[in-house]
Amino acid sequence: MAMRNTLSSYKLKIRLAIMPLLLVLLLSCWDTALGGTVEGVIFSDHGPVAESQVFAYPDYQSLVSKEAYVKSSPGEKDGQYKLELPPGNYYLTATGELSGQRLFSYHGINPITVADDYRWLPFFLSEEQEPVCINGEGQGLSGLVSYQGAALDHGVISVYKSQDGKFRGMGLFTNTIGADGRFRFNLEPGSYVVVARQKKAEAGIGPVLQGDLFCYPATNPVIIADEQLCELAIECYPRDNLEAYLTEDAVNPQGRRHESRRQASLWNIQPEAAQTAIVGKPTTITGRVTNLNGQPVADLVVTAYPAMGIDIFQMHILRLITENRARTDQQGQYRIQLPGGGLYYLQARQKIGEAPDRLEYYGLYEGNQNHAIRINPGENRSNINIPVSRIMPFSDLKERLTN
Amino acid sequence: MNASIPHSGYRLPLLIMAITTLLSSQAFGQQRPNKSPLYLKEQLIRHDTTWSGEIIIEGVVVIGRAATLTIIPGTSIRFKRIDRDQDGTGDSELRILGGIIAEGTADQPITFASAETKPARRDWSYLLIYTSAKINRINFCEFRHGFSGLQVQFSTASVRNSLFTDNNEGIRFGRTDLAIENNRFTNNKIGIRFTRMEGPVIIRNNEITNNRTGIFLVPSGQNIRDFFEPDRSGRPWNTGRLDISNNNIYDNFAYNLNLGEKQFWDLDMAGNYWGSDNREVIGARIFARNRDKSLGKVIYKPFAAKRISGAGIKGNR
Repeated sequence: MAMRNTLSSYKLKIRLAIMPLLLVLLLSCWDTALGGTVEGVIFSDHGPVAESQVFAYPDYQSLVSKEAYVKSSPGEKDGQYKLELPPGNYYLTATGELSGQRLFSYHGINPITVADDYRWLPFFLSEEQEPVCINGEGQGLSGLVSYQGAALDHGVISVYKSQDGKFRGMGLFTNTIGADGRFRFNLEPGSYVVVARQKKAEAGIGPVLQGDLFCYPATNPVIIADEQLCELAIECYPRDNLEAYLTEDAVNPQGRRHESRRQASLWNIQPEAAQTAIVGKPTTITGRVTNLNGQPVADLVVTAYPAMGIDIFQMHILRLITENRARTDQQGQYRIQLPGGGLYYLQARQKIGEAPDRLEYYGLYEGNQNHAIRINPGENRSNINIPVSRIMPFSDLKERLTN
Repeated sequence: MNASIPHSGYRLPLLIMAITTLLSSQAFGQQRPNKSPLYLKEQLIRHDTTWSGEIIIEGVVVIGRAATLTIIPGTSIRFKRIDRDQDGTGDSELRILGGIIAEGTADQPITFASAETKPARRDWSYLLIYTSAKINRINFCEFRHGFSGLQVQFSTASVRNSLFTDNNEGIRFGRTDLAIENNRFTNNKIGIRFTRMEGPVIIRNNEITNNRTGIFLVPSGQNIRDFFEPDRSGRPWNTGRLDISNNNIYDNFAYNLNLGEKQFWDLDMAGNYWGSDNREVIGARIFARNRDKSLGKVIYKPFAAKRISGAGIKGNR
């Protein structure tokens, strides 16, 4: 018995000696997972804006109330900023001032996920302009969308409930913007967020890609009162296309291109995905899209929709906007690199940004009744094949309606 | 004579026979003998399939894009109530990506209903025809206890001579090529609910009575193709696209017709019977611009002064 006590006491001493070491080890591991770095440059169309700042909010409500934010520290040159953030989702905005005019930018990929990684995010500022609300001329929102001082010639504009939080997809309403840049929505009293976009390639709306215009006014969200019509002036900027954005007399940031401490050039701003350092092995899905005769179908868009906690297939998931997508090649093959593991619903179709359309090639993944695959981080899932067919054939109804 | 133990040389043919029998069973694509109920759990069926007799579904059963489901007259399809996402609606569902031909007869309708001993609305989700590439046919069917009895989305279908009762909604549809004719919608929370007027859709010769709301139109944010500006049209938007006529739409408890929030477009619904020949009585059961100036007008005149005799299910069920 005494010997067992001595042995126990000895073991206890060893444990006590090891514990601080384990604690140090644990804390050092903890430290490496504490978050990420976001850096970039804040531009107006005249070049980098000195003394401008980026604010990171944990949710959209905090952004609206301007609370609970993390403020950037200045970088080494005018317009540069740096943010150290714990892992999580953030809404990033930038503010600055030029010749007494307040400037603002809301990043088009908000909310931004910060993990244990590094991101380079440029901001493009535009002038803050208060809405002008009048009574007795209707109820809702109207306004002018412009780019580089001229009315935006066509695009789409969407209205979202403020609670939406992501402001992607078609929202409550989506309308086209005419050649005069004007828009109007009749709305119930409430709080709304307005976002306009102009896409260079695909029709309709979809993720804003490099060179596309993104337009989010500083005055979002806009409060519509009873019997009140609010007029907005909305300025656009091109995503990740500095060359198109700067005016002729802008301060040329090219001189900073070869900074030894920076991988990312100010001049050659790349799409967001390319700037994100992906830690570890990429998570990918590969497969083939074929028609019902087994022949490959080229040039379809395959999209992997993250389940976001919805583990049972629901149609509305396919209305969400995600950048997890790829086009099929001539052999019908596709490859999608995912931001991480999880459950993804898979769809292949010709069009994006609108509801499925008559005679469009369309298909869902049919490996299971949920049309989804679960993938681990760093995993590559191959042979995720999708059958497609041209949907909604014609019946005799059109003739019956005209007779 | 030894009849009980076959020679070992017979084992392979017997095994092949057993596998053949198994593969020829209903879930794998052939017609099933009309005997005990067939229980189907979650699965995706990839080959043409014929159902008969009694089918019980627990979970989601999908008919794949390459397959057609044919259901013969008198077949009963019942859905077990499971509610994994706890949203108050049963998750069991029959989803058609391929095609469905469900054609009963007046004497032998096909039924889609709850498998519970005390059935209730929302015990199961719906029969959903989604992005189908075929022309689907529903005829002489009965839909009970669903969230929606039937949903048709981005597909072509005809729905005729069918009964929709005790559902949350009888039919829901969006962008479709759809004929809804000679059906009866009764005792649902909503008889017909739809989110698009772009058509082509025909809703004719139906009996829509004793629901909470007979017809409910709630456009989605993408209601109109090419995002048509609603308040510049100057005419009912459904003209030439959506024909709602020759129906008996009356005695629905809240409204015979309700235009939901955001429905700005004028709707032509002339030629229906509304339970009265008095305009004030008819107007009182229509929720549109007459009640809310932000909504579209419902043009219900001229209307039938008496019940339309040819409306409802043929054969007087």
